[in-house]
Amino acid sequence: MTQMNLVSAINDALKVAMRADDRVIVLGEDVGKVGGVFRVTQGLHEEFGEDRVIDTPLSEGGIIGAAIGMALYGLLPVPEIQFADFIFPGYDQIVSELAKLRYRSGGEYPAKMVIRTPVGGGIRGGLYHSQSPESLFIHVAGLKVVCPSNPYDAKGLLLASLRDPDPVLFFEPKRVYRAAKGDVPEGDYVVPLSKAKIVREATGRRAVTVVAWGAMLYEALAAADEAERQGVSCEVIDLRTLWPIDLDTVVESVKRTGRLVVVHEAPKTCGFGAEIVALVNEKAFLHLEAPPCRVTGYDTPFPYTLEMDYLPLAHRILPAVVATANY
Amino acid sequence: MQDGTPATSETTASAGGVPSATPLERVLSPEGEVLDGGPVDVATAVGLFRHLVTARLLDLRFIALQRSGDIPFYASSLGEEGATSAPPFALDLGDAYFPGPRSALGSLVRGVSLSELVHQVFGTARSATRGRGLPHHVSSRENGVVSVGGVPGASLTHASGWGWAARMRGDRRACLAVVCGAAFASGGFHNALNFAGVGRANVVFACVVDGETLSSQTGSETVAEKGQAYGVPARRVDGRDALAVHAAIARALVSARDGGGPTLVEIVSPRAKPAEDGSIALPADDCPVLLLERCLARAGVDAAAVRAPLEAELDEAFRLAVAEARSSAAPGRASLFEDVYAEVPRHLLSQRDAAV
Amino acid sequence: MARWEFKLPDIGEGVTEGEIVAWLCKPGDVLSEDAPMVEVMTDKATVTITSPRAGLVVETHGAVGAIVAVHSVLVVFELDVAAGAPSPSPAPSHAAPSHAAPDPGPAATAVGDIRESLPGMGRPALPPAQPAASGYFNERPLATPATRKLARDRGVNLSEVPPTGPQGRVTKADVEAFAVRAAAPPENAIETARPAAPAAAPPSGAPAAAHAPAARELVKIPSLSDGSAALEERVPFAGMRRKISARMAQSKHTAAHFTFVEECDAGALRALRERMKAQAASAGVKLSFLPFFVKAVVAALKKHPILNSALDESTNELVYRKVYNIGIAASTDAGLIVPVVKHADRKSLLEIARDIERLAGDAKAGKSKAEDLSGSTFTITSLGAQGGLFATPIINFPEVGILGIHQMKEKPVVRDGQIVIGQVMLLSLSFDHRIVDGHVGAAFAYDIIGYLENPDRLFLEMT
Repeated sequence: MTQMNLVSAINDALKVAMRADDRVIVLGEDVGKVGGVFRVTQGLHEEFGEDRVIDTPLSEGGIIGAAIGMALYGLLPVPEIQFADFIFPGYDQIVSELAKLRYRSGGEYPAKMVIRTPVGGGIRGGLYHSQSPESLFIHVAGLKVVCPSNPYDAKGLLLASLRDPDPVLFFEPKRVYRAAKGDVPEGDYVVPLSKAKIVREATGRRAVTVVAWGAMLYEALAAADEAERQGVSCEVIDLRTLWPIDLDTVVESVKRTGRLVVVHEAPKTCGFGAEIVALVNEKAFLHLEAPPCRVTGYDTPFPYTLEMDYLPLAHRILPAVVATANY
Repeated sequence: MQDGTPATSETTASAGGVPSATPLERVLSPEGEVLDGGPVDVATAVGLFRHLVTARLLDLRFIALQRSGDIPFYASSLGEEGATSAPPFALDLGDAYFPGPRSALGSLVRGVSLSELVHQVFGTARSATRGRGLPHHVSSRENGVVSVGGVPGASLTHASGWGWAARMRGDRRACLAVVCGAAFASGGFHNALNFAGVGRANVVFACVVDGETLSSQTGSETVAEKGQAYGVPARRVDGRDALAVHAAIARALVSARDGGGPTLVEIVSPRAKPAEDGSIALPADDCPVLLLERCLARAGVDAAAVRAPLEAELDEAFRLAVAEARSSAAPGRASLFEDVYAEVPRHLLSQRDAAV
Repeated sequence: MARWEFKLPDIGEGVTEGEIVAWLCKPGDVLSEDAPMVEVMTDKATVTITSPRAGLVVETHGAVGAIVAVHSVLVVFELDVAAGAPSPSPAPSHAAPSHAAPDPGPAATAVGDIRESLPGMGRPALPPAQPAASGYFNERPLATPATRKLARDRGVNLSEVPPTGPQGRVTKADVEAFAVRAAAPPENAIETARPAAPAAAPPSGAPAAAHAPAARELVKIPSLSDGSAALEERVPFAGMRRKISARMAQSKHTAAHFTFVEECDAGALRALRERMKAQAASAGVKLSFLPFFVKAVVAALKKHPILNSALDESTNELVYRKVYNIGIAASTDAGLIVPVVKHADRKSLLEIARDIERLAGDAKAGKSKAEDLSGSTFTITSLGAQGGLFATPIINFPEVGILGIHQMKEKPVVRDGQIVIGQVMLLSLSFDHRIVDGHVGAAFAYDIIGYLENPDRLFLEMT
């Protein structure tokens, strides 16, 4: 066990994978000599060389497109998109090519890769360094979406993502890149995909299920602490893999509590929270004591100055939890 | 001609008639003479001739099927058989072929059977693509024909990545990407050439253009000159001359295998397009099939003796393939949910169970 | 004098150190806010760092060319020096999270501000996922939101409503029915106290069966005593009385009682009995009217077998009895008992009279045998002199009917256009409407009346 933060845990996962399997290559803007804009790929270039840690031209369409070709060749590319906000020039390649290759070729040409990219706000990054575009990828059939909240999960989920046969978008909550710290085992291990984790169990009869992921998990936990003081118990679920979702864990929890609050940074409308609420309505309708509730970013572009007003922080989660409990 | 180096002629096909900086390469004169006076490689010429005849005949048959409503659409390469069939003819086993939307028939050159092609066009359960791709998007892993999508230029970048990977691995295999229609105007073309240039990728881009498309899609006189800006060597060949196309692609592939990086080959080729009344005038003087026929005649090969039995054989094979495809089952409804992911995930299982 | 240390910020994301290129201030300088202080080169860029605060430079650390680590002290200030108006430290241009103190971590970088620590993140590593605790698995009933709304509007505690819907779901109808039941006036007039029903939750883990109608709130009778004198006496409610209580409640709660009352001209019966009395007496039997009633009932039961039936709820079968055991309700000091005349159909009037005599004697003496008190298929209750005008007898459950006989009285009756003195007797019959329809019960009653008004028919049909 070594104390790590999110950055070092992901870096460690990449090293473990690249040492074990020479098909694993990393490519992206400044991922090589510089070690990535957030230093997540630091040291890889030195250890594995420029043929496995590739500084690419500045073009996300090119990065994803070339990574698809490398995957078709037989490599296991891990492209880094510097910020999820920059992924859109590569979105066409992800949606029209990567997600559909296996299907349109009748299973003959799967293109396996793990696209790593930092997501989320709260870093004074403004509207082009702060977005959370998960629902835009969850909506596309053929993609899996992962978002760890802590170093242990980050390493284990990345190693699991690399083993998974399907393309994975690995969203890294950059607000907690360094603040999320914890013990991480050495070497290889996996945290299985599509398994959520109950990180705080409800204890009282008047309880609310709170679903969150990434950086907002910590806000949900902070809100849960305060809610407990106010007599409302929270069952906090870290989704970890957003898609395919671990619906059982969410639904079983809602059946226990009868109440659901979903927290995410992305805008509310057509956000992933909408899908979670719909699924819970379908699966746990008769158990609901209150309307499922979403605490999310607003339906605006991500702001610069007012980012702390935009984000669904604990002080916005708490009243939603209490209101849901007392509905 | 033995070294595969085509001669060049001074004619150009550029729109304004202004001579281009990059000369248009030809091996044969319009009369079918080898321009540099050397002997013709008869085996190559006969092989190419058979593929050109095949492409010509099948294009007409598929167009007929589309007009009869049997298939919803079909992108033909009528008239540009040289540009369609000659490039993949230069590939080796193990190379990857990224076809363009108009080069479905090029897949036959790679070994895809006529039956498989027709099944894919009809989208039957027996097709490798399981009735999912567009009719003319042929994909066959067995034959190294890579699945392409509907976004112009997207697959060009894949070819760059494939070729980059091969170069990194010291692999002498190379790949060929067909740039069809106006894909050279897409962002994917830029990404592909830029990445290939940076990565010294084992890739050859075969860019099929006609004068009309060229003038409407770019301000430059040629596509080839764009290669210079990416540090990618470029050549221009006359698409009517299948031997010239083949030679240029073959040489570019050799260069790629030897670590020479990517090449852009602009293939200037007129395409037979339907007139307003729907009729299609086949090329006459410009016809790549006839040119090769003349060349073979000069080499003492009876082209008609090759062509007639081949056409009869193709007619029969096509008739059988279409009959078989028509009577084949559509893919089962459950297959709708397969191959989205490697394993059908739970949410799709429940949708499948509801649908089946 | 406030001393303040300026530390080398993380000027490029991930940068760990920087080289001092040039000092733009020296100890003794008074710097205004935003004044250039030092040039630092990192592997990303060379940047000029300005003073975030106004103050007197006391110390500078690191010579030009020195490599300094991020977060090491570069400049030491004294802030509230007299020189110039020492401005208070400016508020951060970006509001800190409203629930958190400003983070003293590294300053902003070119691509945002990745903190080493964030509020609320000092918590220990998250514990491994535990299997969900079942202790708080709630017993809340299944219901649609619309039903929940209805329950709330009607003040009904959903968990008390027995569910009848699919998958054990409480339906709207269940809520309505429960609300109606709850609103019905108490059957017991002395029921004066009842806990605030909607607020009361059943004890945790109470079995579902507890929600059945029988499990109504227990009636509580508050003591009227003011503490000085006994204004009431409490005696145990037990034994026979408690048994009767349970039987009566069971009958009344289960059978759908309806009562039918009709009068009967018993003149002929009375005359017949007068004629037979002496003969009976010579046989050692005191002939009352009861044996005639028993015979009339048996004859009517034979015509209406459903009145001699019982409902087996466990199998949903109606049980038609082929034996005619007639219970005769009797009041004793210990309470109400029902001795049974077995096989009344096979017995003569005298035999029945003897049976009744014996049973009554045993009952009075408190020595009824168990076998004499069970097995009845229909019951007659003799209401006697204090039977009132009419009554609503309670069925001897699970029988489906009961006949109550009132005292014979001389009353004016019209016969053949003449008002004459008649021997009039009222019959009060109750039936279980679940099984016996009104016209069936009435036909049965009129058949009994027919036999009693023309007792000769009894002998015609006697087996």
